Amino acid sequence: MKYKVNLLQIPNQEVSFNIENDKGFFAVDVNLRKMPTAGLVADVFIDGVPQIYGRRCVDRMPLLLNNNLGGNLYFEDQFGTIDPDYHQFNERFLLVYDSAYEVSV
Amino acid sequence: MLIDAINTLWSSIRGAQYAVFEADTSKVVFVFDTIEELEFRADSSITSYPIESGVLKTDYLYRNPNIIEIVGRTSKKSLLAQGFNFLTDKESSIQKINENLTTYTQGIYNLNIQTKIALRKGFTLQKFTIPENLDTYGMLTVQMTFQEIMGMETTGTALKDEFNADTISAGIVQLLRL
Repeated sequence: MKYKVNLLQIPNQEVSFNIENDKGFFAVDVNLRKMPTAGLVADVFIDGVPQIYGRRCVDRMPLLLNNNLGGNLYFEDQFGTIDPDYHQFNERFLLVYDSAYEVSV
Repeated sequence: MLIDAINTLWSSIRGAQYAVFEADTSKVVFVFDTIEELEFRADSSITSYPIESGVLKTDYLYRNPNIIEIVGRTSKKSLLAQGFNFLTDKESSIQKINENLTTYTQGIYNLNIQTKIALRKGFTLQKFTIPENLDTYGMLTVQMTFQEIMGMETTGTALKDEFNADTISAGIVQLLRL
């Protein structure tokens, strides 16, 4: 099942949300930061535990490299294959939680 | 004609005048006996590059800062001042203008300029000239050039690049099912 995370249309932000699935209940924090040249990077925390720091946000590429969350997070361009840009968060670029997305580790 | 005259009279009564004042504090910066001339200029630059067929291809236009030029005059001892010496202190007024000219050319100050046509916001004093010749004898004449401050928020604070913007907490947000 896919869910959209509501973001602010600003370059640098911290956003928290809760996920409940078969694996349990998780509090997720995502810090998004706009870089001068390299687009957008994200830090992801699950229940306060850092999972990844400074991961480049690329269209449809998973942010998490493990399955701790029971699913994965990624940005999706609804109208193409461009990497996310904060000006069009929620409208064109969605931060998606996909509960069925398992990475092979 | 009559309407024009009434309009002029009404403007005089309402005191529609030129003023240069600080945007943050509304402090009036320059007080002259008269503003002889004020000119507002706006322009932009168009860039181009040569292409193989031997012409320049226009590709972009960017706006240059707006310019306001003001010529202000203050007499050392105006007729008004002679009559009401106890009300006006011309010497200190001239001194004040000189002090402010020096001060306001030494940094970026966010100034608003009220003209008879419009209120122009966000200018800083770029340069000034005080000519002393036969025409200006016995009178302080100042030619001032104000330039628009581009990309400034408040006095001396540059707009941050977007990647240097403060991190804002969006709080706990809802997940919406797709």
